Amino acid sequence: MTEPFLFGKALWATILLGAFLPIVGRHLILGRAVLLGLAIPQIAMTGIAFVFLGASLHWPWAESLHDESSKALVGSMLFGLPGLFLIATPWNHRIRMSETWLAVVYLGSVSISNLILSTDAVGETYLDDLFHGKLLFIGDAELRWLGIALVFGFLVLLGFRRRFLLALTDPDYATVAGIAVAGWTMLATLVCGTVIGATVATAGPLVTFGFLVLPVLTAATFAKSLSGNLWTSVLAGLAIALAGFHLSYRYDLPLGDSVVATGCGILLILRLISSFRTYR
Amino acid sequence: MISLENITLGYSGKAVVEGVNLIIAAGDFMVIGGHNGGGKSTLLRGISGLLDPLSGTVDRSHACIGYVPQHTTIEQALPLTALEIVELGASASAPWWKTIITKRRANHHQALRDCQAGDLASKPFSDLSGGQRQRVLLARALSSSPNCLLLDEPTSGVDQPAQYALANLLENHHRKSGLTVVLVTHEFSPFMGIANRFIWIQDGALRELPAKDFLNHQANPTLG
Repeated sequence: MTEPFLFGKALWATILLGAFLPIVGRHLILGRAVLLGLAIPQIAMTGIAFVFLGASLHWPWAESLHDESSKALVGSMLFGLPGLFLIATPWNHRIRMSETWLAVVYLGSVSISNLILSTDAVGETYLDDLFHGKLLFIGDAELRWLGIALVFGFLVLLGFRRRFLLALTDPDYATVAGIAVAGWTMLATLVCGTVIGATVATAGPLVTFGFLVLPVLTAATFAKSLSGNLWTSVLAGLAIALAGFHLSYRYDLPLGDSVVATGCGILLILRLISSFRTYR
Repeated sequence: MISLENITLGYSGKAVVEGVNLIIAAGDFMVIGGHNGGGKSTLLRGISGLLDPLSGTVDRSHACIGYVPQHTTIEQALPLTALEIVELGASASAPWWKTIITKRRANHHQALRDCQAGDLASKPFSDLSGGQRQRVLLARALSSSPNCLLLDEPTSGVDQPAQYALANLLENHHRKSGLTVVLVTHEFSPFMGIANRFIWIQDGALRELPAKDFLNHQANPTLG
């Protein structure tokens, strides 16, 4: 009786990610900040590793977090949100962090995470599961928080899309029109950071980054307008989630890796078909 | 409408344009020229409010500014249609709470038609030619009903017929509604019969010239 319920929660988590994460990815891509989608989940992973280290060293605040999912959520937010504010504020057009520096941030986060985990076997096992997308083990509370964070992010980004999109696509025009570009950018950063932090803590960095970019890029193959891209990317995210889940269930493969590989496969096939049509 | 009083503009504390006094009156059609690096784009950024002056004051309290950036500066990682560009631009003049639910309005289509871009509404901006893009960006700027239009190199990357078409559009709006127009450009010919004020900027200093001297000055900047 346990198994069907376990898979049910994993299926719901995958569907939630597929439906609601692409809108966050769309803002990263429009802000020319795709590498942020890679760097921020990794910084959040460093935060999770840090909290596990704290628990193993008997730091009181870290020990007070009894279960592993709480440690993951606190660690992810503890590092993910400030990290995003520090490096994503340059979304503001006046200072733009270069891709080179984002790569350095990513490499630094990976190496520091690994160094921290080399001293903590419990944390290493947990983060290894998380990296592969540990959705199969997701609990009721984690699923609930994931849902709240994703729906909150979706609604805010959808509601304020005109302000966010104008600030991201043409900050000079927005500034002359009297829009507080820095403020709207910070709000977008806060929302995206909260959603990414919550997602990394439950689904890991690979699945998070996968659902941030793959549905949006898949939709860009068909949609010739921004509004069309939004709803097509939601459909693409759902298709990737369901197809990936089916593959994982059918062939007993890790869920996170299956979903991301499926998304890459779908995108590659669609791009090939699109290129072939254009060539003809 | 807009007055610049003894302003110095520059970057990182280093002055590019110094001691400028300029009054842009309602109904002016002003062309700003100068060689590369002379400071004309810096001056336009100062007028528009994109660049705060290092010293001096800019008064634009009576101006409702519409801005047309260079079409090459609109970065597009995802496709936006011409109509979406205009809709986003028009939403800038509305309070934020009114942008949450806004229906597509006929006046966005009308703004495109007024700029001879009605047939481009559903086309992705990235697929348009330089001249078509400029018409769409002009429609976006005009959709918020400004009384002053600032254009940064509107003829850059645009062929000659499209340059004259753009000049005619600007002239129509200028004559019909008394729109104040200030533009920075390297291509003066399309605007010579339209503009009433010509500013030449060189080495950070600004000079107002009669129309006939303006073209000569471009050819030979050492002229007094």
